[in-house]
Amino acid sequence: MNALRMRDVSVRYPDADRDSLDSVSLDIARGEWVLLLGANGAGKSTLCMLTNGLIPHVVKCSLKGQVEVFGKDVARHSVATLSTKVGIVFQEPENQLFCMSAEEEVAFGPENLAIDREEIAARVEWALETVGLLGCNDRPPSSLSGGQKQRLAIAAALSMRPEMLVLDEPTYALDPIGRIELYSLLADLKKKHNMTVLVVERDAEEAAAFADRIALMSEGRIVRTGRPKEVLADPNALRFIGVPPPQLCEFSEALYTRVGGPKIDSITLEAVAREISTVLSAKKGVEVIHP
Amino acid sequence: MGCQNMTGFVDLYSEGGTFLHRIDARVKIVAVLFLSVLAFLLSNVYSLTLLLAFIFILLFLARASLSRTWFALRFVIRFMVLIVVLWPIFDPSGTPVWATFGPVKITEPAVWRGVTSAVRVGCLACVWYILMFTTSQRDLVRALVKMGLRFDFGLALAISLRFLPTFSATIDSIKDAERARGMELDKGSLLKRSRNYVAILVPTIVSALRSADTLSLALHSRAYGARADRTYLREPKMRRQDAAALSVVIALLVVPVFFKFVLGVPL
Amino acid sequence: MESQAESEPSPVASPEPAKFVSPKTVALYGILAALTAAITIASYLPFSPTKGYFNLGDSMVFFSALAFGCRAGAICGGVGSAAADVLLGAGVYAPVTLVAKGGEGFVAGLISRSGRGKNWAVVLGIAAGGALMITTYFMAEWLFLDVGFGKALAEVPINVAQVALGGTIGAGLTHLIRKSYPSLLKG
Repeated sequence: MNALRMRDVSVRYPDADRDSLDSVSLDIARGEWVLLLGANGAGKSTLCMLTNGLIPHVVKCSLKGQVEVFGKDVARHSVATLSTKVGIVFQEPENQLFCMSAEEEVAFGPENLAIDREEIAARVEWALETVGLLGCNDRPPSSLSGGQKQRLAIAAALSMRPEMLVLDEPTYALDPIGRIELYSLLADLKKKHNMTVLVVERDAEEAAAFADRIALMSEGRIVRTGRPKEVLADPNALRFIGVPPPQLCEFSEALYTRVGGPKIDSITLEAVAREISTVLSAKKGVEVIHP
Repeated sequence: MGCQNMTGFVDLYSEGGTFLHRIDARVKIVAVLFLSVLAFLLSNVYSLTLLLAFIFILLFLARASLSRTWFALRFVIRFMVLIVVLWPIFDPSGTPVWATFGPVKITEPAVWRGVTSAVRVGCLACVWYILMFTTSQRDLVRALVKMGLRFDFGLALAISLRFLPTFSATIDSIKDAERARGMELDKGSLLKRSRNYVAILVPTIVSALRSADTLSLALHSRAYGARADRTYLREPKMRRQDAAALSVVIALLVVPVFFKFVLGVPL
Repeated sequence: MESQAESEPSPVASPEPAKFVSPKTVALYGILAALTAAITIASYLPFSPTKGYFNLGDSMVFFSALAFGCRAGAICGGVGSAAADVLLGAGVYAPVTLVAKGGEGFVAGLISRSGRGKNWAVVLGIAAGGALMITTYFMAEWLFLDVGFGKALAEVPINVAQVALGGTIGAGLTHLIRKSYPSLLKG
């Protein structure tokens, strides 16, 4: 059983002149990390809202096709039920934190499910510890930094004990270090708890290296899926759908096409540096050709 | 934790370990209500002054910082002075007459009535600060829910308190930006001023309403309203000292009422 | 795979879901009350020394009422304005404010909605709501708080100015936002 199974899913909002999702099919295996890339308006957020039933239960639109999360048809289960399977984190942390302390924020979901107090306390402790916010229990969310707010939003989703996390542009307001911290946290969850992760981004910087698979989205369709190395090997495909390729890929591309350097297909800084130093040490006295 | 934040408005609460901080918020809410009722029932200026003195002792025990206390009292004092000054001007009844300015007669009973009313209003205003100085907004909302406020209403209240500083900051930053562009916000005719304010408020409101949309999705996603028998991680519990404080509060209302209305002591 | 045949008990298989107001309403009312309080505080001008306390909070009370109806106007106007009173240190006014501004929002929303948002209904709603607010404050100060006729009367001109300015801004805001961002006002 897959974590997510979408078959020919089309979504159209009222008053829209085209489908926001246009017969999309996507499978995500348990424990897999998928990075969904696309420009503004590609339908990424719509896809996210399908995973926990916000579409079709809350957001008004017409839905065709089938969406199953962990074997549950989203059209036939309430958002509350699905929330114990899929935790969703929205773009702006500011707008999804509504309690007056971090602890209440994390406890809110389990409380709504009428879980025992002891169990909630244990979950709060675990979730805050997992995201590195233990000790901030009584702090008001508004007093936290941007990165902390985003991690608190993740903790609030984690306390529902989901098996899958869906993050809609989670690093929107973060600097590169904050992004890597956030992705490392998710990687940790994936490793320790076999968490399935779906991350949606507008650019692949930092995110690509963490993913098992990348899906490219454009105008409501998934135009390509593949392993990060394969997808990023063709920066033009990214540019074509309005997604800036990672700087590292642009560097490798320029090295190959404009300087006649070696073809590098690694996507992490360390790996690229290693490849280059291997090449350089192989041919001593390399000549740098200025374009 | 700073008292005056960037947006120039003050959260009266400050953390502390005084007994007023530790008492259950529900007891403090009851105390505010009872002492307010008492202030209305008392009509003698001396007993009201005694009540005001008692409230001031409690305020002192709450150990609020001076700036905070001043911020609060500034309002009360202006209010009280206004009452004392304006009352005799509009109330020419009684004798002896102290002074006459044209049609305005200042009489001794009217002055005393003004002072009495001012002290009463002082009590009513200051009794709030005992609660506000020593109770966090979180505990306040929790206590209200525990006292019977519906959970969903309490949540809406919590949301509004949570977003208040955010919106204040938004308004200030837009104001600064408009000023930097040379807009004079507080000048010009009524119509011009309102137009200027609309320019500030439109972006604030639009972004706020967008937040409301995301917020409702977040509430759905975290199973809001899934079960009627919702549990609570923290529930305020009445401890022995809370019960003791509550009985003191009840006595504070009952004893004077007994003396005034049963024994006929003119309090 | 049929999901109903799930062996583990679903944690939300409660016989009855809570009869709470919808998340949309909770979020919207919370946000509108926060906006009302924020704007009241941001525009708060302590006039010296005879005038009390002037603010533009009424603009948000009227906006809530005109854009979202009498219930939103009553709750957000009342609670938001009362919260601002408490936070500004004027807690003694909070109960009066709750009733006065709540009533203002309720009446403004009721009349403007029954007139289907036509200009005359909006103006009438604001005027009636404002009149109710001013009367409530006056009566409460005079008779309930017993601050004396003079002090109560001194507040009236300030409140009239607040209603005039707040009503103009509130109606302007509603018109502008309804025109430019119609999707936001679908409650």
